[in-house]
Amino acid sequence: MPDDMITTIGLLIITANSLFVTAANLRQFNRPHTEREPGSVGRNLFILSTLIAAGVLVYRSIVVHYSWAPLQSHVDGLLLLLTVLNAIVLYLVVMHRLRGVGLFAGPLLTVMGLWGFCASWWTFARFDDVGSVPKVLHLLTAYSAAAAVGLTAALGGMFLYVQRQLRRRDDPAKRVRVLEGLSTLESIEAWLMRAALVAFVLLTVTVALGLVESTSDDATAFLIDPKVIGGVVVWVLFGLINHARFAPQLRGTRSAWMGLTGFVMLLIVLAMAITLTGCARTSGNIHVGSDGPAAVNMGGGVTIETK
Amino acid sequence: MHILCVGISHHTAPVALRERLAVGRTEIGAMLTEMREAYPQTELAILSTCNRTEIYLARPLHGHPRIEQIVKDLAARAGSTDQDLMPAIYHFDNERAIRHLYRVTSGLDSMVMGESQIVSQVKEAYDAAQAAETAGKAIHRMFQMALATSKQARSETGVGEGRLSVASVAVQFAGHLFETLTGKCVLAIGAGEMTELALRHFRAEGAGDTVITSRTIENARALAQRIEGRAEPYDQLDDLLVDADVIISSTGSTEPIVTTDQLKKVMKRRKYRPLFVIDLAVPRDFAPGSGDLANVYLFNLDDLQQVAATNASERQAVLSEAEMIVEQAVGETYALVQTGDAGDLIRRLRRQMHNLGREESERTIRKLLSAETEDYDKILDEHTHRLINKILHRPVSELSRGGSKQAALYATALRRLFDAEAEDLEVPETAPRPRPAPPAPPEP
Repeated sequence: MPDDMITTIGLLIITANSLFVTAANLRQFNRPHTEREPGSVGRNLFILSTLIAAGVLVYRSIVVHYSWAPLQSHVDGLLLLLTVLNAIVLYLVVMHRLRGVGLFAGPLLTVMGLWGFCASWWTFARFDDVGSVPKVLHLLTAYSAAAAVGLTAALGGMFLYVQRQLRRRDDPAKRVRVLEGLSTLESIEAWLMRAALVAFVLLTVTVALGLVESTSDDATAFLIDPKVIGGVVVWVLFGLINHARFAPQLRGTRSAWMGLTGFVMLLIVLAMAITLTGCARTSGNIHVGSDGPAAVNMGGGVTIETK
Repeated sequence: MHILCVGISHHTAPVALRERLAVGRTEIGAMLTEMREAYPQTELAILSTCNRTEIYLARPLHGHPRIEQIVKDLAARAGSTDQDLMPAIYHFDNERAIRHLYRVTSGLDSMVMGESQIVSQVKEAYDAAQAAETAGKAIHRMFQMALATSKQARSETGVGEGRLSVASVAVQFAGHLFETLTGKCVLAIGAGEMTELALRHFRAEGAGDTVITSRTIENARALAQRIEGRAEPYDQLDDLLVDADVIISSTGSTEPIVTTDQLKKVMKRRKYRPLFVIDLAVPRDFAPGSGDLANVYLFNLDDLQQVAATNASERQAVLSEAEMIVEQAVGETYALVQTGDAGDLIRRLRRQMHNLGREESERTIRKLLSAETEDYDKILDEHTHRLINKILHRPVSELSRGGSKQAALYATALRRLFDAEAEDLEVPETAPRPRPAPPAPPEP
């Protein structure tokens, strides 16, 4: 059972909203250009999701945790991620910065919302040690970085799709109709690079704070911790995307693929940290109880209690 | 109110005649004022574009100007005779005139079906009529509804969607790659007609540096001069490819002039900046494998022609929908114009009748004051008789012209309006008028 029903219901609404936005966008996208309705439904749902995510986060901090630190558990982190992502997508939609971004960000927000919903049901327990400012900052940057990585991945997917439409040789008239609903390749790439830069900066801060706050005495165990390895891989990938500014052969398609790979890697890292007890035991970062992991280490000495 | 449209267009007149009749933006105001002075009761608007010159007017049914007068005015303007001009002239009245205006505004009468430039031109014509104070109720209604109908037809049917020429489709594809074409370097290889047309489209979209190269440098120079670009020697092609963002190629070469390997090297030199290539040549100027290179977006003539052909057929398919929207609006506008006109007519008629009544009453009162009591009946009968005669004078004289279609029309209208259908219409005997008391003798 969830620890707090308001949180669970909030996350359920956010997930449903995201799903609805995705479906509505897909429906619009499949219609002929002349029959597309710019409508405000999608925009209103993004506003609703942003407000609910931010509201539940504040509510949890004040009512559930009684703490100054907003991030006390994995659910809080996912709520922060959802707030940031929804707000960014809302900005892009309302300001007409990226045509069609809702279509590609919708599935991402749905997955994130669903994950938050699951977390609110099962892994809602508080982290065991979030008393210090650096640890709170570590969590804050980690989840914000995840939001930026997610956005980079969505933009990477969008870039690859638009590029494919421009390159396909069959039915050019149909391709024109599809492209009408999407932003230009140049602007998608520009936003992808911006998102990747923000993600890289946040990842760097996260990794640095994680290293500083690490309580592991065993350096070898720390280095072979799959979460640390995975985190570094994501960091390197985003470093490479940003390097495309100086190494043009990495730009465009390669950057888009790296963004997508980085996001998948980040998901694997988070999933590993929570579920793969074997690897975790090797690294000594997960506190194992008699019948499985009792808590999950989130880095920087922070653990999630799962019992 | 009688609505008229008289003019010429690309359907009826060659460009030379259209040029002679075209009214410049600065001239429209003066021409409207001049016509208003000549025909003060007439509402006027002039629509003049490169494809048409049309005069829209709304005047009383038997008012002026007549079509012949307008043609004479236009002929004088074109420095020609009305007989010479007449074959190119078309005219529509009432609903047909409104329909024509709506079709024109919706782009259904344009040379390029559904083109949108005409909307701003119609708006300019309307603004000019407003500025010259020649737009009355009818012109206001017609032009406002024309603009609204055009918007509705375009948004609901997409009649203006999709580009129809290969060059404009090329610009459309480029618009999906680049956020803006402003400042982008466009390179043309070859200096043929197709290249020139495509270059003009890119220039119109704000493309920056325009470079033309050709095996015959003179051709490149001539084209560069026409489109305000610059010509470069053909042997510098590789360097030019490095600098360009958009390449339009249309040479007569039988072999590809740019091979895949060559372009691969060029892409490396240009640090993999996206390159948009339009290959309009047959046989193709760019080797087929060129389009597979990273960040190269290659479109050939077939791709562009397919899109243009699809757009054209789609436009034809939505034409009937757009025509239906126009047709509905025409009926509404005509009814509105005529209803508004009927309101004015009733007001004028009442005023006119009251004036007549007042004149006759004053005359009768003067007579009564100086008359003997026994003459009162006679004077009042005379008053009634004169009033009825005055009211019916014009309708009866129009009716008694006889024979003409108009007289028959008036007869029908009169029967209907005065309920005079019955054959055995009997005039009731008037009861003897009660004799008024004689005026009191003045006080001594």
